[in-house]
Amino acid sequence: MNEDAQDIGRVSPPVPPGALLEASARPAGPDDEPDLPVSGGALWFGALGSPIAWATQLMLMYPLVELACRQRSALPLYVTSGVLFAVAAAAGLVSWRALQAMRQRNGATIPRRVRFHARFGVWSAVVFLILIAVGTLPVLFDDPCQLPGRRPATLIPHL
Amino acid sequence: MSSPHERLQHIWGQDPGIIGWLSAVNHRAIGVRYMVTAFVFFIIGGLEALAIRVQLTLPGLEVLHPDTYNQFFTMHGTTMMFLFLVPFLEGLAIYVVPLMIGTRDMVFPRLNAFGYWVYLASGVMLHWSLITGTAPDSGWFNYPPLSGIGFSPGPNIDYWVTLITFLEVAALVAAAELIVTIFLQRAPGMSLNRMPLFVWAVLVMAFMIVFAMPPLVVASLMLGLDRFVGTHFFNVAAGGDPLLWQHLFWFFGHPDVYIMLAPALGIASTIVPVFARRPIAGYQVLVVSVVAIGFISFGLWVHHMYATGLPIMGMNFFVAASMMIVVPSGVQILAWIVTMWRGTLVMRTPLLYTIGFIVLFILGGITGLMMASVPFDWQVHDTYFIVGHFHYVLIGGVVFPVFAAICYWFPKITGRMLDERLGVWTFWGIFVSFHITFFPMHLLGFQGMPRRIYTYLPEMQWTIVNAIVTAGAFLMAASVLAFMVNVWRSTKHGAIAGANPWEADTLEWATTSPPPNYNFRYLPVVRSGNPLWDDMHPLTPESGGAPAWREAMADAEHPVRETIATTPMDGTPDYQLILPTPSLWPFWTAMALSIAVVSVMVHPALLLVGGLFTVVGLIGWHWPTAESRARDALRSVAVEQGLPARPRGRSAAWAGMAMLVVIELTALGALVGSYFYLRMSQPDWPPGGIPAPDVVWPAVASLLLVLSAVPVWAAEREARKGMTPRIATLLPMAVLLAVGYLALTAWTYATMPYGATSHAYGSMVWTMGGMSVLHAVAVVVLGTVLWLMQSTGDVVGRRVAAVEAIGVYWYFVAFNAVVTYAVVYIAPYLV
Repeated sequence: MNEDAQDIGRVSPPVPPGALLEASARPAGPDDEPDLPVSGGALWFGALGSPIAWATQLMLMYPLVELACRQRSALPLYVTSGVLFAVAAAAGLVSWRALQAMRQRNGATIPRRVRFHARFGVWSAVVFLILIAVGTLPVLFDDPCQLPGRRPATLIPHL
Repeated sequence: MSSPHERLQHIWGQDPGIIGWLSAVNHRAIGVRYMVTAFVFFIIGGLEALAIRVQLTLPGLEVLHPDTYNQFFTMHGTTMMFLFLVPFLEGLAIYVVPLMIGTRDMVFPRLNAFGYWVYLASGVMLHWSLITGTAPDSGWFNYPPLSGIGFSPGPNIDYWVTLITFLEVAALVAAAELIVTIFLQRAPGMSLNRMPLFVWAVLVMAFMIVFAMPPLVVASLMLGLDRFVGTHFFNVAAGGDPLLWQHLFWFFGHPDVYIMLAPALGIASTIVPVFARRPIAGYQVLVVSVVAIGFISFGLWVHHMYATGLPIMGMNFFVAASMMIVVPSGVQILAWIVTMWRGTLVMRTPLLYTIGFIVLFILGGITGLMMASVPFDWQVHDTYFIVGHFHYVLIGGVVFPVFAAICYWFPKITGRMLDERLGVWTFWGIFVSFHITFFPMHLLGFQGMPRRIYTYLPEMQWTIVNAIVTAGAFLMAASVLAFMVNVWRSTKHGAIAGANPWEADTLEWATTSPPPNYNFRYLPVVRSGNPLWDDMHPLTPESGGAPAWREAMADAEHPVRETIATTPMDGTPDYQLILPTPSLWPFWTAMALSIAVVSVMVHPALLLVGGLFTVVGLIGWHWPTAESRARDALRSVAVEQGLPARPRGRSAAWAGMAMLVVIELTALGALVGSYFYLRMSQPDWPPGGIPAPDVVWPAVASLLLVLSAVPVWAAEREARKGMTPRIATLLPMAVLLAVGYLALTAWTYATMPYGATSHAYGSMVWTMGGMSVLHAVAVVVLGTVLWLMQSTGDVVGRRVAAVEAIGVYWYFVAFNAVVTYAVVYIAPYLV
């Protein structure tokens, strides 16, 4: 095997070294987020808050159907959906405000990855807010006690 | 003096001969082994399918015995799902991802090798059961009560329960390793927003495996206990519930489809821009949508259970999620179409398979959308419509991308090109025969033909369509054979590929084809998402100013496997990562574990033998050697060259152990969920005759285990400071406290008035308690071994990471004990 062929530096023309050092030779340390308008924790909440809120909604609503049937009230289901919708919306809002704050600074010192992170949160919130809303529709239209093949308002047998 | 290339080849190579082959740990060797082995299983699964089709060609045929037929359709599904698709895609990821992110190997190479041997052993043993006529025969999803001891008294289901669980160990270790590698070893400059879409897709796949597979392990454990011990998890007469199996199985099973689909999406997002000659449209939206697909796929499992009598409202939550998953899926398709529309298409075989995938994925998605609707699902449930649908999804949506990936990366793997003309003919053969085979199945389903039937009467009028399906299956088999011939011939006689035959944009094409043992001499630096198209930034001497560490690594000044670890988010250089050398211990340990696993089917004594050999293997694997000590001495060199020898944050070992903790937490969640599921289906809990649990002594026991974590935490701090004598005191203290927990818990359970076989309640209590005890035993062993290791002087200075890693596991075990206590002893008073 040709030794030179292993040197990927010779696959394409070299570029000015100053630009390279920027990416490769920074002092070791935690991810640098120079003077960001939003904390790393807020960015993560923005990115993952809405999907986790949706997942929580689904996992809670499914067992809560039985409770709603027992109590003859869909209130626990509405409350759960409402709270988790608010959490997802808050996550989206945090990401949106982070993006706005970055725009105000003209992006001079903001790494692209941070913008990416914030935009991810906004898109993610859009998707999962719709999912939470759609996931609440059965509460509006269905009877929590209804079983397949039976008319609405039929009680689950052992209750 | 040898050249840098020769030195690097030697350092990153493997020994010759059979021992060297068994000891290999290089990611490319392991990746190829995974892919080749998975393809062999694909052929076996395909032959099983052909036998099934022959049996169904005409009414009243008796080509196979009915029992053999049951085994064949079970093994066909099991083989394709567990032994072909997931392992192949993991193998592909293991091969491609390190190259794509510009590193030299994966973070835990020995674990990688271990995973492969476990996979191979479980696949071979599973098929051994087919040869002996005792293969699993209850369908690939193995529903109780059919799979219970009452209806399946033979060893058939034992093979499934034990070996599928064993197999998942391989999937889980590969997933954990992929996650840590992607987060810690990306090329300098490769921040998350520059990560290739295939790597994003693999990351999503790996996280999905981590969260989806533990519930199946828990379900298999329960079924195994029901069969071997006599517990009652799925026995309605004793408080159990077979639907619990369905929930746990499909909580794994539905995401499993997307576990396979996610990398397929990544393959398409890699191939489309390369052959459209332009960057992908909507990179950011594609990332969001693949992550969203990963999340949403966990919210669909109940749509496999519409026919089980669940409440309408509960089902409709899942209808909503099942319908909404088309949104991110549609985004992917739209982005590919826009990319192709705006690009200049180069019609080569990889793109043909990718376009074929897009067409079939849409068709399979549409039928999937139809079945998301409860009334429609009730009409076609358990008919051939379902068989047609999921083959469109799995072959169209996954196997076509797999073939695309083989065609695309074949030049990189072998250094040669596939025959293009044969490739195109093969594609059309597979594409057309696929439709002949699977489209008519939808019609058979509408005509009422149930899946899994052994034969049918002529009066059913299914004969002609079934004959067409069988003809299509043989045509498809012939086309796949032609594909294999192309691969076989081209491996030896194909045109020489060169480094970048497709003029692609990602880093794997920046090195030779096939790559050298060390992948890259100069570790690449990137500033773009398409580094080979618009941003290749080498730091060679000619371009000036390379950091000293990079030069040292390129010239192989130190005889160690060194590469660089970067920060998880921005990919900035963090520390020098020294990877382990080849070792026979992973092979040994996997084989020892296999012996322990087969004890269930062969003889209980083998459990002891296998267990003993496994412990020996694990200790041998991790015990410091003269060679590893010599490696450590070189760490200081990196410091002199401006690169820390240790991370500022947590080590790779800690990250690996944290992944294990996440897996275990998911399993714990599945156990706790199962407890409450069974509890909610019972009016009395504990059931009549069983007293409410005593809360005091178990609380003391749990407290002891929680307290044992304190000296471990202190030992971690001391290790960072290099304080050996204090560790020598702290570790035994922690071990003694954990032993105290074990003794007290053993006494508590010994005095319980009921056992694991009394009632489903007892089964839950004893299983959760047993798991907690097993975890405590694990930390006692780990703590003792670590204490012995530090007494040799290896912990401090070198093995801080070991103390950290054991620490995170110890905290989990303490948490596990607290949760178990709360569920087993407190919950009966509250819920």
